[in-house]
Amino acid sequence: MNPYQPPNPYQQQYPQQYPQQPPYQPPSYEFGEAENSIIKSCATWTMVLGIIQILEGASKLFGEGKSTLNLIVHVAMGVLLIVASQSLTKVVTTQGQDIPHLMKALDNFGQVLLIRIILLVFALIIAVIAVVAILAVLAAIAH
Amino acid sequence: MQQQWQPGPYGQPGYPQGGYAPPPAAGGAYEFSQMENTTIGRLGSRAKTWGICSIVIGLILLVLGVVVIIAAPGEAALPVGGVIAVAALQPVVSGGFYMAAGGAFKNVVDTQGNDVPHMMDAMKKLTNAMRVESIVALLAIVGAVIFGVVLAASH
Repeated sequence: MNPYQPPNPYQQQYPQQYPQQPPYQPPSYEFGEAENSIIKSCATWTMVLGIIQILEGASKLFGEGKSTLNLIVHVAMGVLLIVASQSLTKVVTTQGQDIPHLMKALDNFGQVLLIRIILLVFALIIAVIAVVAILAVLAAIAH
Repeated sequence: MQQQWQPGPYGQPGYPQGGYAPPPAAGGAYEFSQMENTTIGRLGSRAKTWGICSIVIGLILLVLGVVVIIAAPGEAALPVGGVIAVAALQPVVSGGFYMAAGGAFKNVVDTQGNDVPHMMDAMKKLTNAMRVESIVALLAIVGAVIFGVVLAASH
């Protein structure tokens, strides 16, 4: 570029514009028939597991070990799985938005797994505390 | 033949002239974007972690079942220990599928040119994990209902 050339008035007026190019649209991808079949099967079993999670949560309302927290966690996981299942169904039944629907479903799966991992960590902490408490009581009795 | 998706000259993705948007492709190659790879990678890590946790839980239950069979006194030791040991198979099997699905999701992120086949592989394994979980849970529900009915009838 010549440093001595006079400034271009149009460049100042339209500094970053490329008039021939409309805003970028991400590429749309459509899954094929074989892929849709796999996704449909995943959607079905996700729905089944979601309903089971909600039923499991509802069962926590009855019997001796009633727990509202358990109910909330199970219903939350069930709802996330059902929403994921609906997103997967949309991948199969709609056109032009396959990847965003798939990503939404995967995000929901990830949230369900995160809840499970957090619950397990809590359970482990409680178990360790319980074991330490039992050992402490046993030690106190022995002395 | 499907046209490769190449970066455009102004930092934008391809098909720059006239803003041509490609028609939806059925099947074929697709490379997930960085943002999509983040979501997939996160799910892969969580699936792997959960798979390992699930297998460990299953193995602990299996050991517990065997200990009950060997060490517990009385006639109930064998059926109780047996039920615990059989129940331990579900987390072991579904944990294995979760781990495999996590690995396949990682492959989607780490490799290029085969994102869709890797994604489908991961979806299959995730479906298998959920299938095992669902069938065992349904059997447990049916078993609990039958047990409840038998218990109610005996009283």
